[in-house]
Amino acid sequence: MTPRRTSTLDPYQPGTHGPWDTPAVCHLLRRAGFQPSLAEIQAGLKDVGPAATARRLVQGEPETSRARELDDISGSVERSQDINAVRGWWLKRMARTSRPLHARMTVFWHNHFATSNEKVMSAPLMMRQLETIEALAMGRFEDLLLAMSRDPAMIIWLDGDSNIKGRPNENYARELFELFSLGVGNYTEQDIKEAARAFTGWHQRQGEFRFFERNHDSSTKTVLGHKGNLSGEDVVSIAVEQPACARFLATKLLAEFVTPHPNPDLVDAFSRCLRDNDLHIGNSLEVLLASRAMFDPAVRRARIKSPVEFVVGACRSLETKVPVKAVVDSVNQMGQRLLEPPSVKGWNGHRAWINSSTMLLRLTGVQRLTAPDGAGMLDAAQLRSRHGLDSKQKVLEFCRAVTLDSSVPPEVAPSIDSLEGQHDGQLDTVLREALRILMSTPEYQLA
Amino acid sequence: MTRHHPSRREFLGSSLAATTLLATGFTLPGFLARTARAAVAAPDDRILVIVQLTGGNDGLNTVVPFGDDRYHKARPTLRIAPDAALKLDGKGGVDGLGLNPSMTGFKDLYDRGLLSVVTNVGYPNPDRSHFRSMDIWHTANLAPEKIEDGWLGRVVDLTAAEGAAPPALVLDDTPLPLALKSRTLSVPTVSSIDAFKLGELSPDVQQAITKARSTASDDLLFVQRTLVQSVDNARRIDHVAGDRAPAAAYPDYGLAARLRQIEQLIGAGFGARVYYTSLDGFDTHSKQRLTHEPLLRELSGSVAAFLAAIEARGLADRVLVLTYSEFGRRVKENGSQGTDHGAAAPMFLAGRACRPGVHGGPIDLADLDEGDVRHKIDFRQVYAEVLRGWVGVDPAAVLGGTFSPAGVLA
Repeated sequence: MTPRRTSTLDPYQPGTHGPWDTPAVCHLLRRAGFQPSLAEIQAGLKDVGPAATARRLVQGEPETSRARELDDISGSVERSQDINAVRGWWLKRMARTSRPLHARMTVFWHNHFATSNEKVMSAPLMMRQLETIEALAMGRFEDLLLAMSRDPAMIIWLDGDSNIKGRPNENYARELFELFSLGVGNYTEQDIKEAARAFTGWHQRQGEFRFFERNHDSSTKTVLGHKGNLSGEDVVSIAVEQPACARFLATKLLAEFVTPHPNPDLVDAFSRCLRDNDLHIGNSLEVLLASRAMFDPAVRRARIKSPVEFVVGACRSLETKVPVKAVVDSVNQMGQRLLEPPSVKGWNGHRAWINSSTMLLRLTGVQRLTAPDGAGMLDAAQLRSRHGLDSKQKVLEFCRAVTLDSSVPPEVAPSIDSLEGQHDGQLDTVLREALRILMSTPEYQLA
Repeated sequence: MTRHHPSRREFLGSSLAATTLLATGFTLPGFLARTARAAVAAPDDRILVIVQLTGGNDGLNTVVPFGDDRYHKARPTLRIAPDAALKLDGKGGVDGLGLNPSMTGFKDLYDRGLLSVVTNVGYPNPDRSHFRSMDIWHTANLAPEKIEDGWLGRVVDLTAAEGAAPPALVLDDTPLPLALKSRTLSVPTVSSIDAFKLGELSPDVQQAITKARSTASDDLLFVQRTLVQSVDNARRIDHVAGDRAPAAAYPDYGLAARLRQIEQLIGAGFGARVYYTSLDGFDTHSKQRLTHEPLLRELSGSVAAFLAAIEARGLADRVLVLTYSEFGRRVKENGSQGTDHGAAAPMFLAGRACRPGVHGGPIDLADLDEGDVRHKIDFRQVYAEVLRGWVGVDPAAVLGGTFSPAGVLA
């Protein structure tokens, strides 16, 4: 019997289901990456539809030389012992990368396996965890979950070193089920106790994973109905085989890429898709990103940009310089201190990003970026010459495209249109004024 | 640098709420529709300051049952010795309890009749997940999954009146706690007074922010309201925060710095009735001693300094401090010189309004619930009493039920 295809994940057919135009292209690029640059928008418009764009996003394009330069200095960042240096390196790579979806998934998994340097207290170990996540971010979930179970920073974070035969520490086992794989209600307190014993002896020494046989409890355990001398590897396999695991991941991935409030049909459909793909993230995302669900009008601009998306997106779309300290400070203050998530649950995201303090920071950030000196980041003249923006019309068209998908709300459009009649001979001023207005809108806060 | 403080007239003129939004019929929370005129609280307004202890505070090493051998047996490495505990006299008919030795500030408040210690506070069928248990405390509901507003958010909804100041303010680095989620407005969340500065906005930018949209999703409306409120709050805080000198010396802690700013806002008449902040780090699964005592020292020293400053401002009759955590910790320490998630734990109330002494009875270590302290006082009994006796709202309207007062207010 061939499984019936779920219509909600059917491919979005341009023409039949809606247009493949600048708003559609920008929507996909922003969801699966960041606020797109003009070049990214133009490349998307050349694709015949979202399937081709989604494939490029998932497969990832070759890195630019500027991004590769950053890879070359990763060793020195790691040795610097400075967590802000790691943050800066990470954010700068996000701003430069040709693989924005991989960058977003790396942040997604950092949030999922939310480990904080406040307890780990080691920039090198946080950097290594990041590199492990990045390498496995788009592959099979089981590989990532097992790698995280053995990750030295994770072991420190959730007390693996004190999880010893005879006196188990439940911290990792609890979060493995509650936050990493299944969610509340899909396991019992007894499952946690038994699973903790399976991970006894999984320690780190000098920042390397080590299995201490003598600390490992090799007696019989029963976890989620499986009985035997279970190892940590077994518990990981048992967890990912649970139908609840696919549902749990589906809900979180849908919240990240489609809508914070996915309906049950969509969760069902994407759970099945994940299971059919052996929880392979990249393959599943390729289906999702090109699906009708992705382009449902109800989900457009229905996600609130995270601070990372807000800041990195501004850098990428406006092709700015990326001064590490300013970018790190901004993202930190807006409430997303990378590598120091607020708890093991990570950041709540969506509306939790928004309060009167963080909104003020976003507003003042835009004011600074569009000031005459561009906060040392935005070079209006260079941007104009790079894209041949030699008239007010062209400048304004550019600004509308790289901020609001060329669909400016009618309440704001007159302010932008009226710039055509102002600042004669000062195209840089027109560019900055238009960006300041467009990026201060509530719409710009939404992805 | 000299800052320009607008006069009331200028403030009125620049109020975004008073111009574009109202002109376009945008429905706006009442307090935004008026101006700094309303920011000066009436002199008899009572203020509730909440300090949330995040992570699950180990109640047994906070209010220590030093007279009970079971405590010492269960805590071979973490126990507080009887001669080290800061003994609480038998007010409330409870003997054998003492504060953690790092809590000299609280001991002093206790001795001066300014501290109420409420033992054995919890709720039925305790949940040992941080998030769910905190949600229960925040929503005051034992099934918090479907609840979208918090207990203080409901207070906000009941008290937000046309022309009044924002009824509550969070001064913290964290996002808005669920406790303050309201149905009618976005409670301002301020990481610091200094972070709340905004230069002049051009008319076009103001209009881009505030002009009501012909079509808008709930999320867009939410973002727009918050943007408008943040600009309005920035003007409002700027207007009242001229008086920046604290009224007493504070120790050098993060919590002290947050409480100092709350004191300044109270002193300057910002007008909120509820202030909320938190102290994080109580999830002490391993090597607890290294972190727990410093945290209690920070809590105790910061709150004591805050109350001293409030007293120096002549506002001691108007301010009540309350602390809570999502749960206590297991009686028996774990193998990592730490403690795992538990159940009932003490709450503190501080200020002239509290009934001094120990309430909630002795801590019974003989009759445990899965290794944890059983609750004798439902936290909603404390909420109920504070709501009726201090905040002045009907507890039933906030808690959705009737809870007998815990006897914590004078």
